Amino acid sequence: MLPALVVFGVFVVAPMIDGAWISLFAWDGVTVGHWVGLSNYREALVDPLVREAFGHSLVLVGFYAVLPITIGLFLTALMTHARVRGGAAVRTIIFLPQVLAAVVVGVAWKWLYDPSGPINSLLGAVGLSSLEHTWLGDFSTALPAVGVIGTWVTTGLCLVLFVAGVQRIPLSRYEAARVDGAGPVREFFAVTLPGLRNELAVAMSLSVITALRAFDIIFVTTKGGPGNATTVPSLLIYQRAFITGEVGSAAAIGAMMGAIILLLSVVITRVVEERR
Amino acid sequence: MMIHMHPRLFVSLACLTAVLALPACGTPGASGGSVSQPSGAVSTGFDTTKQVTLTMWDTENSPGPSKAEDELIQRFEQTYPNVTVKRVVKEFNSYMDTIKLAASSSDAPDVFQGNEGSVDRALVKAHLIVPLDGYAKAYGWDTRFGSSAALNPLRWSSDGTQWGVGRLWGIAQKAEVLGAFYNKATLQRLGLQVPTTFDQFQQSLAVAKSKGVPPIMVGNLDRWPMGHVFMVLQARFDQAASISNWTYGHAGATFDTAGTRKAATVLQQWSDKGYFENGFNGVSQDNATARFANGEGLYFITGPWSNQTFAGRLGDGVGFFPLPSLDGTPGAPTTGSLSLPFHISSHSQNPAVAAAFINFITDRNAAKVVIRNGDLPAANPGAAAVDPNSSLAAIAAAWSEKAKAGTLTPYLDWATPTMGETLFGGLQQLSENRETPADFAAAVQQDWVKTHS
Repeated sequence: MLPALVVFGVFVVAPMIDGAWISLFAWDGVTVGHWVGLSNYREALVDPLVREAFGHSLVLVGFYAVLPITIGLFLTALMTHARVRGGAAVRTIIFLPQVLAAVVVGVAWKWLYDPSGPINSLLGAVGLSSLEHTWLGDFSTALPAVGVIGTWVTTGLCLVLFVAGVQRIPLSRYEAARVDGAGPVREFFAVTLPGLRNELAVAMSLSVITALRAFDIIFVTTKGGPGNATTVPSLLIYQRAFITGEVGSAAAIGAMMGAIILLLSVVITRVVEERR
Repeated sequence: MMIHMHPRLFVSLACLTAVLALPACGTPGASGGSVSQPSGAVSTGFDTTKQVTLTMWDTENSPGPSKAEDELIQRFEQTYPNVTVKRVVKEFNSYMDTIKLAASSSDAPDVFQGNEGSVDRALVKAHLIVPLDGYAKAYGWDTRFGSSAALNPLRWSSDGTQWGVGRLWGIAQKAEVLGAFYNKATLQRLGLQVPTTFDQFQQSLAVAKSKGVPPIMVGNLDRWPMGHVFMVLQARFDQAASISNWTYGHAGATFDTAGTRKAATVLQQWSDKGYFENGFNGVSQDNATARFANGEGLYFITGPWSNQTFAGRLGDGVGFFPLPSLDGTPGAPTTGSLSLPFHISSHSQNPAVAAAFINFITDRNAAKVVIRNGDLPAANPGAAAVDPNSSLAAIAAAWSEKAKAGTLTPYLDWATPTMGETLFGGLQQLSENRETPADFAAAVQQDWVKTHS
């Protein structure tokens, strides 16, 4: 365990401390910085752009966590109730996006969303041209459009977790439920859902964290635009650290984001996971 | 697993971690590398017997320009067999995001491109590049690019606070002038002539729109392309001196002028009337460029770096003109400058070789290679080098006309480190009618005041 902890200390804890330290300086990344105490944090808290970015993160939690978990549970219920033929193939296909590099996913969806791309062409072909949109370029659709990519990616992970979890639930419970005359809906809420508490906690932690630190897909597709419609905290960190030379401010936003993620993970684990 | 650990072990590990982290906790940026400054007189020679490897970073990633760099490197290596040049090329955005960090590392590239404005300011301030005045004198760079004033955007005071004066920190290989590329066949099919006044230009947009041809192709998903459309419009309606003063950060300058607001209003009207291609805020610039090269649309407003992409497909079927003036008089202001400068790293072990190299890739012979690959060189190679019917000939003519008249205006995003984000994000808002021209001008000025007050 000692070597593991040393690696953890050098590559995780030390950079974290270093990051927190830098957040107390005004530093452009190349010349010598100077001490500013907590003012990077104060400025970040009142910066409307930072607030907007955290608001967008909240929306993304809906797309990256709530939707995939709901869809995953629904598919799991279907699969446990009726033995779907080719279920393994379905699982594999839905899990595939997890395997792809996020940049590949982003580039592919950018093409799908193009004003003259497949999605609009399809809508036009079935006579729904009124629904055609500049998906990534329109202020009202850009954030949901990016969110849907997240849903597409995360659903597979949730499904695989849940399907594996269901196999741990003793068959006798399902038999008992059926003897008591429970229908599929009742069975889901009485047997499947309670049996999946641990998997649910894992799925929620992972997907919420993915949502909050979403960067790659947004960077590849919209770079935070149009305007600031898809700007998220991690994008601001990148911009401030590498483009605009506000490394202290970037570190402060990073520290805040880290604290929020840590807090949420603890809450999710405490509330959802089964007590032993 | 932590929970089961013996408390004493845990404490000692925590201490170990803290100790490991401590060395990092100095003042960030305080441990700068050693800086070599050329002392005394500088000559053009270097030791041609010693094996030397030069590392070069650049962002000339478009097909034509990239080929030109490879060709020039090959020629240099043939001329000086003891030198090997290792080239690293990246796309513009990721290049500009990483170059400052790369330059500050101890194995920084010997030669690399910077960017006028905030990138160069940071490089000078942090002493990451060396002043080139000695080499400029020895190699005659002062007179290579028309007038020595052409090099002013590459001059900074040694502390990086004053721009346009002081020592010379880089030289450029190419020149840039923004204007409208047009599809000659489409223009003719629409029954139009090359417009000679701004009104005629706007009329041609209306005609194209009415006949179902996208008037202006632009891929603004990348955010910066509309910036160039706005800059040429601003140069049309605002005073050139006012734009320059503002960009160079002169006290009392303002973006919030009647001319700027007029330019923003025109851009918004063009968007309202559908003069930009359908869904332009959701189209990538690569995509828009490729489709224009395949014959879609009438105009494409951009700079010479895209010329080879267009001319490679359309040949002499693509033309170029700078946006015409209101009354049709020639020489009206437009956005343009020497392109991204080449610098020599202060960490370079072979600054004399590096100087010989950047001299080699920017001289008149290099200019011919640049032209052959469809781009506009900074050094004048003489008119004979360019096919007179090509778009490149028109670009070269526009450049020399504006340079001679002194009516080139700088890129607005040079003004502050955050200006790219502010300006380009603002233009997306403006073009979608989510911001008024007045609010747009005020927001951009607010960014400027944060840096220059």
